[in-house]
Amino acid sequence: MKPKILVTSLTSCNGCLTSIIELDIFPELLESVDFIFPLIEDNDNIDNCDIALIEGSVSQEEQKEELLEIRRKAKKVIALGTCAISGGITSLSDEIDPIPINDIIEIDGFIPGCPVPTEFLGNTLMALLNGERVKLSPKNLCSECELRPDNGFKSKIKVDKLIPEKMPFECFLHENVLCLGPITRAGCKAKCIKANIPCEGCMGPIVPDFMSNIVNFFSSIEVSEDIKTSDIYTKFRRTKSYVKTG
Amino acid sequence: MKKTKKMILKPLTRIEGHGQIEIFVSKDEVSRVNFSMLDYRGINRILIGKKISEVPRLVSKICGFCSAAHIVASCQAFEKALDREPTYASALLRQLIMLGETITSHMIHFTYMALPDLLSLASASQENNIILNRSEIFIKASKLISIGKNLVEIVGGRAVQPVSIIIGGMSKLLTEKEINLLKRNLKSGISIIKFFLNFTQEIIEKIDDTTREMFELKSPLYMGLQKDGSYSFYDGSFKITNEDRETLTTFDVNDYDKFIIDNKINTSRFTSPSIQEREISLLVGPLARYHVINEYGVYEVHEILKDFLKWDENILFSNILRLIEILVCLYKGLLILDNAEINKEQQPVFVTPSKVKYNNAFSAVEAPRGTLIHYYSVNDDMVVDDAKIYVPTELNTLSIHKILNRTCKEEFSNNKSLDSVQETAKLIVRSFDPCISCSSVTYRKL
Repeated sequence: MKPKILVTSLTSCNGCLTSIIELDIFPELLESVDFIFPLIEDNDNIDNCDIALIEGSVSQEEQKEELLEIRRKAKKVIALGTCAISGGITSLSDEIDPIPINDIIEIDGFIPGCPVPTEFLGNTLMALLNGERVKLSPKNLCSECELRPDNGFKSKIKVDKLIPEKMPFECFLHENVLCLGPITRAGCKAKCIKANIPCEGCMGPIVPDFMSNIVNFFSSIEVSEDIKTSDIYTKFRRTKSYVKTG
Repeated sequence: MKKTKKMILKPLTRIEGHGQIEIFVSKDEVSRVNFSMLDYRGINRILIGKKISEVPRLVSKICGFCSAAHIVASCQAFEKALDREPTYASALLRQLIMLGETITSHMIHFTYMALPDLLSLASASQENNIILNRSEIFIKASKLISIGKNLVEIVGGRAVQPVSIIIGGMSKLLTEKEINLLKRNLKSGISIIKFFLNFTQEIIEKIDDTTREMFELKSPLYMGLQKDGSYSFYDGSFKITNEDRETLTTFDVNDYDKFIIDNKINTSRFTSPSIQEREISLLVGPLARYHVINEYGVYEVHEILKDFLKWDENILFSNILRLIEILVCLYKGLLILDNAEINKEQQPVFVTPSKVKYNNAFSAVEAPRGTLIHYYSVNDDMVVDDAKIYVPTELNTLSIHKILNRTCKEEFSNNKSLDSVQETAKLIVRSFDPCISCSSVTYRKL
């Protein structure tokens, strides 16, 4: 019997769903897997399935019911992407309060990324179909980054910008640009850095205790007062706390 | 006592995002049909108080299907505010990403939504399950999806939500090797899309006149970007035409809110009596683009279009036009890749915004689903004071409602079957290719 995979989308941009469709192995998967997939059929029934892949966060009561039903019917529930894992982009909102699916139901694994990187997603789906668990790298992004300094980081790293002002010739952190690579999980092949954009951390933390991780990181580098009070502050500020000056 | 029965079709999952259709039946007729979005994410509001440099990445999270269109629109608006044009090469690279996104988005819609629907309308139901049966056709479609994806990934750095488009330019240039690979890719797509055009033409010709009539739009106004009458998705000015291809007005992107208010036409701007008289519905997207331009810039496309004259006002025709646009994208992409200017720069140009020249800026691009407008008010500290994003699906709302109500009412009075009304309603909504992810930027109960 073919394994059955249910794919569901909660509050999200559908980017992780797009990543599934755009997988090079998707046509083969459709042959070997019995998919229940939003774009293929209008499905309102939640059937028994081997694996449920869930994209998006919970922002409505009905979605909680849906999740509980999926948990009852699915042998394995996997959170797909940052919104499902930790709330994602709408966590910046002061109007809605996105709930990670793990807060509503128990999950059997998660595939990080915003959206999930396609190669990593493809490999993980194959592993899941072989009955394996989701394998996440225990290393940080620097481990797969081409700009990683050969002789380790400088002892004194000073950061004074979030956005690079030129193409990097060495590690962004050595060029005073904040890059979250050291505290972000590997698995995306450092694609943004290859495009000369520092890591924003969408693959999430490597250790469960992210707070101490991030505090350690920021205490080991020197962050200029200017970006602390300006760029970094505005990046995470909620809209309601912003008073227009103009 | 008059009793109204409400029937809700939900969720509609064969569209981008979550939507529902409500059908109200009272006595012996369908009294009202409603299409509404079921999600709210409020990205519009999240943008307020953010530094402009954060915005392109944030707006890329609006939609997993058309993120490049959002990123480009936001960058263009800020470049206007800063009075800083991106380099010529950057503009070409951005266009490549948008072409790739259009190829992928159109092909996904065609394969998963349009084709099964067209086959069922043409009563070729035995072929209906092409996706799950992994037919040859599906393999071909997947190849095209992959061509678009690779274009976005190689130029944009990532396949979904590219990262290389930054305010002022591009963070990544193309190597000679990448250019050659992309050229081979795009060339290989041309024969595939021509196959789909022929194949779909055969299907659509089997659709009978009564069925075709159900999808007629009945004189909406068409709006889209164009550049001197030519197909343009990256820049240009707006044009609004009527069913007779008469230009009612053209206006600058900066004047958007003078002509369109609350996703509807500002009738006071028009002198034509026909506009004053009726509730005008606006259409954006492939069919509107077809109406507002004189040429796609690819000769053979116009030869193909001659066969479809009776479909001029039909929303099902959008499906053919999506295929036509894919062909145009492939040719345009090859033209850009052949342009020597594309990798003339030695290094990517990074711009550090230093001074705002204009505090308010509009920008517009043609996203796969239609005209996408971004507006920002930026203060002198480079912080966004106000942001408004007008998405194609919202601009199309009135058109969707009009045709839904007309056709579902007719369908019920002819057949007395609520099942067929439900099916028809779904077919109509899907033929507009609505994008609920984009619409969840702002909340509007329709």
